Amino acid sequence: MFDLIRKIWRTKTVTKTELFTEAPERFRGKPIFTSNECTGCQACTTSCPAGAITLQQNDDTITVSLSYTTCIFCGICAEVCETNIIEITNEYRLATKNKNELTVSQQATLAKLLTARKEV
Amino acid sequence: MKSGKEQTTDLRWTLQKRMKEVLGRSLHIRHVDSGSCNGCDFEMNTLTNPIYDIQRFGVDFVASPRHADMLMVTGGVTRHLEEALIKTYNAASEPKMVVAIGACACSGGIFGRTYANYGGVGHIVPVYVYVPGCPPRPEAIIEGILLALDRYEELSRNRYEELSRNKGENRH
Repeated sequence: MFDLIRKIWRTKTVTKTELFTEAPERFRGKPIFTSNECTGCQACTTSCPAGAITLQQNDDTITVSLSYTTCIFCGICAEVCETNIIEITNEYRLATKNKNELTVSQQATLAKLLTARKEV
Repeated sequence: MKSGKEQTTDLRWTLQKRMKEVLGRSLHIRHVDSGSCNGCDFEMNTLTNPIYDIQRFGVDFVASPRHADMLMVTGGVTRHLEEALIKTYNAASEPKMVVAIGACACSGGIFGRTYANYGGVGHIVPVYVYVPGCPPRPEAIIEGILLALDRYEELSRNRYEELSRNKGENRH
């Protein structure tokens, strides 16, 4: 009985007084571009379950574009990328009035593969 | 006019204050499930629990679109639920604020655009605010509501100006 009252006393109210608190550090939120090197290996496009990433290769540059509307924030693209062009942050506030704002793209220079891929 | 992202600093009663400014009274929301997986619906339910407790600001979920100012649509509109969505939209009273919650409602998400899935609420009804996320956090949904109020304020001001301009023209 007293334990229960003590527990309630210690917990106090759980209602949030601030509306926008920061998400936990390991929360998978908005993916952002952190570098401008891409090997063009297409690991991210093939591993993306929702097909949110597209690569467009020109002569020596690659345009990586990412759509937050289709993205399901699984973080696989950040895991498989060798050059760490995409990184997951804990930013979650993506609401917008304009849908075009939700597609971002990055110009990247071609980099060589760091590890040789095994031919199967 | 401040956007939703700039309003973060003060905030305890921002939502209530904005609603009083824009709508005059409280905001009632009708939830429309157009074929979602229930992830986003659960996140919307958490808005009324003791942690977020959105009812203290005057926001409430109602059981009929005729009582609602805002429609919150989850899911990427399946073929069977298209009619339900259109009927709900027609039954809703003005302002018909539509907020698309989740990746599916924004652009089809993981299902995409197929023979059974329309791939987004935007193809069927006009959408005020897109809240991406799979599912979005409850705080992100609150931000979506704030942005929808901003959008409504903008539109109603433009409409008011247009009406007053027309009145002026008629007089001369």
